[in-house]
Amino acid sequence: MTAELFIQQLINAISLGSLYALLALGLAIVYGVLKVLNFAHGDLVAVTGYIMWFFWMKYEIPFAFAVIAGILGATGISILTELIAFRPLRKASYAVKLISSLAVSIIIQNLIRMFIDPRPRGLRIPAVFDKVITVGSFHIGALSIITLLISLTAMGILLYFLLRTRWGLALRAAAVDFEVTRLVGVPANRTISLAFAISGLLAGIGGALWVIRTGGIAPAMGLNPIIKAFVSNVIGGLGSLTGAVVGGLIFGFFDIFFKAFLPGGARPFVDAFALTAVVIILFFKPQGIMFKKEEKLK
Amino acid sequence: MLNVKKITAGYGAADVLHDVQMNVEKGEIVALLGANGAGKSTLLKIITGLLQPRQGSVWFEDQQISGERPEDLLRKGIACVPERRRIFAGLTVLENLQMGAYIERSKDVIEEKLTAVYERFPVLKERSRQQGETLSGGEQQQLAIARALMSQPRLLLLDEPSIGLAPNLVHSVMDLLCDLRDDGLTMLLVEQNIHDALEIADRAYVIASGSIEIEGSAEELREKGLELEQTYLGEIS
Amino acid sequence: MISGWSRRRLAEALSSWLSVIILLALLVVAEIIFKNKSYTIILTNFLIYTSMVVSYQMFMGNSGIVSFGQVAFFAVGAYTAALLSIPSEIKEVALPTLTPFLQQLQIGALGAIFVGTLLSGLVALVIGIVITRMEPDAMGIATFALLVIVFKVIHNWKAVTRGGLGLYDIPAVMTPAYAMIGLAVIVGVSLLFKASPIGLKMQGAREDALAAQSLGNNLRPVTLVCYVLSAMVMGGGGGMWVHSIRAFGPGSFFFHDVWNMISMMVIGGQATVTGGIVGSGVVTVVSEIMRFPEKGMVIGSIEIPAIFGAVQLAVALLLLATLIIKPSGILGSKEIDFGIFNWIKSLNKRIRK
Repeated sequence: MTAELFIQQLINAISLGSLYALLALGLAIVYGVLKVLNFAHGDLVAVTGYIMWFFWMKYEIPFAFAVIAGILGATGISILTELIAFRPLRKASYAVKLISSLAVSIIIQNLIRMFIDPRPRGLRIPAVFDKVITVGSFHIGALSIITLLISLTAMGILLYFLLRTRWGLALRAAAVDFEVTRLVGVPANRTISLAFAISGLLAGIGGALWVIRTGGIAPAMGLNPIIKAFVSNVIGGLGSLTGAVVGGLIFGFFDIFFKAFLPGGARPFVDAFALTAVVIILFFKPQGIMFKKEEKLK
Repeated sequence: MLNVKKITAGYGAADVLHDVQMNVEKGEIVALLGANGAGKSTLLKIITGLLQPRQGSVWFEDQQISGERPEDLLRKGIACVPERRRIFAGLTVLENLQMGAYIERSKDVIEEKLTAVYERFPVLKERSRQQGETLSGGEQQQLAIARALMSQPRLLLLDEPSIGLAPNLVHSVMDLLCDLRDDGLTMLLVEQNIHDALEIADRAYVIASGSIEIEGSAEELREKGLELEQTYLGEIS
Repeated sequence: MISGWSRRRLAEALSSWLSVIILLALLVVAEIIFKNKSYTIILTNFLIYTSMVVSYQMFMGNSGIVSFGQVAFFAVGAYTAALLSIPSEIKEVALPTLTPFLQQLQIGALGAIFVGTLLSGLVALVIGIVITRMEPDAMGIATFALLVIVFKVIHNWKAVTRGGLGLYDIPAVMTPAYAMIGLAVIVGVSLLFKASPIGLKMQGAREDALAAQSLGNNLRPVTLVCYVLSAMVMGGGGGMWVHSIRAFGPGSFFFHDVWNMISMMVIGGQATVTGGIVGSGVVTVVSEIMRFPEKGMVIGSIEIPAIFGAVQLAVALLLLATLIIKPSGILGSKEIDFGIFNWIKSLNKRIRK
């Protein structure tokens, strides 16, 4: 592999990794406060995609607005799912919450099938994303750069919010010790809704990038994103936000480089390998890569 | 100030507290003594609103607070120092204190409170940028109390502040509580460590198996001393 | 600590088992009498689905671990049984690159199912040895990873599985009667396990974290046994299933079926073996009813267009409602029990008088 090819793939890997990181972060934020994996998170990607399709393909509204609408929609639906499914089950066991998130996921998918379209559909992606930028002998896709830039910006804003604002502080505290956070006066409901709102926002942004990358939508399209997000979180350590990002990057690298280096016959098995690796990691380090033995959240 | 009226409560099928009644008057330190499982923590959960009573009510400054959410507690003037400190790991000392002042919006007021707290707890000022969990046990206890004081409560609930601390540290904590009482703070001190608790308390209640068995002034209970220990508190570890 | 078998528990298990058999027998006899084609199909599907749910409950109910991966063993059992059961001529055409040995091998349905069961158990043993060493939370995640791995392997190992196209022309030997026998066996095994000292150990550990800690290393082999047993009944169910459905593909084993299974288990009651039967029944009935709006129907002169997703949506809503209103499910913690022994006892008393 030439140096140029390597660097190009590197950029692709970082770009894809940052997308995974974004999706993983959304999942991690909700996990932080509720301590449960929200299966419906992946379906927010589908929601984003369908709203984008609606505005862009059906009503020919400028792409940028369609994307913003999609992101807002994902945020709204995320908050809604909290109100309907997670709030009544706040005191339930881990298993019940997990299964109910699965139920919500199925409900969203079938509402899409019911009210919009059960068949997969394609989106015409604006040409700007197909451009290739040439720097010297390097060819870099505009899509990769845009994905990277947007993901980094989103993460940067999130970081600022968490570290430097009052609500961000409250959210971090809630993730460490929800009960004591209530005792110092932080309203529980509002905090959880905030977590879901942020989660939905991240899912929306990640979802838009995902749809642009794949160019299509289908009711069950949320499955792949949730697997990516989930695995990234596990690799990095459930409950750790930095872990989500690191895990996402690692998974992105893995996806790109494994696919590039694997012999043709084994290529479809990439995901299987990834997951085997996950199981092995879990075996030795049940808390994920980011954690030392007894460490708590960051 | 605080009136617990005939509280019956529990988790699941059985009741953990039966008809519990107690009072805390302004300016005093009241100790609630009992062994593990006697129901002390449960009673605190009732007062703070983390658990709803099945019967009875809790009143603070002539207002009913049982049935209220824990979030509203601080606004009413009650702060809690939880068992085993429970400071926010992963957050710095400063951030822990900022969380204690969460309900305060004004930055200036928060600065004032911070200054006051740093005066009382100089070691926290030193370590203000350190992560909370890197502090020693004694320092964490100070942090937990400081955090509770950030909201300038009128009533402070302390759940076993002496647990896991070396004897000299326990003494400093108790001295601190005395100072706080002198400054006008009312306290409900829940403890297994009856010696130290009775040293500083004005009055005390002894709870066993979910019911109040003895109540009286600290002096009276101090005289009962050994008898108390053996009958109601089992072995002190 | 429990050291041996409790007579009372065995009697309870037996009583439940007999009650279930009576219940199932009634359904099957009805089929034999009425010979309604759609009823036959629905009944067979119901019985096999129930086998799946009961097998799943066997692991999750006793261990308390939320495991999405058990369905993988259903797939293993299904594919194994299918490969061994499909006539050689068909295999030569459909799976030309399959090793000649397997191409020519064709054993009867029963044998095929049996081998499928064994293979599932073997795979579970290998995986289980690794997985049961993990902490409970990690274990749940690992089983999910397992499911995805199996799914991807099935999808891509085209020489053996025909990938997304699936296998077909499996001899249709599965009748409701056979399915019932299979289910009865599975329910029996499950009830027996629940009542066994091993089962009790697991249930104790599930309830009380402290007890679990004190059992510590002793819990591992027990969990492993449960895992393998559960996998084997899953595999058996898979084998039975392919013989009723005749053609299938990997799409069947993934989320949709995991999902259905979980719904049935939770709605019926995840604490009980027979809860799966109740849950399966409820979900089957609801699904069949909702199939009409899903296909679109004509009532009088009004034409109702197809409402896609009606079936899944109905089940999902039902599940959510159950979780919010009565999380312990319809049965709660009591197994189906018509009190046969009590009935026999009172009969005895009357005879004696």
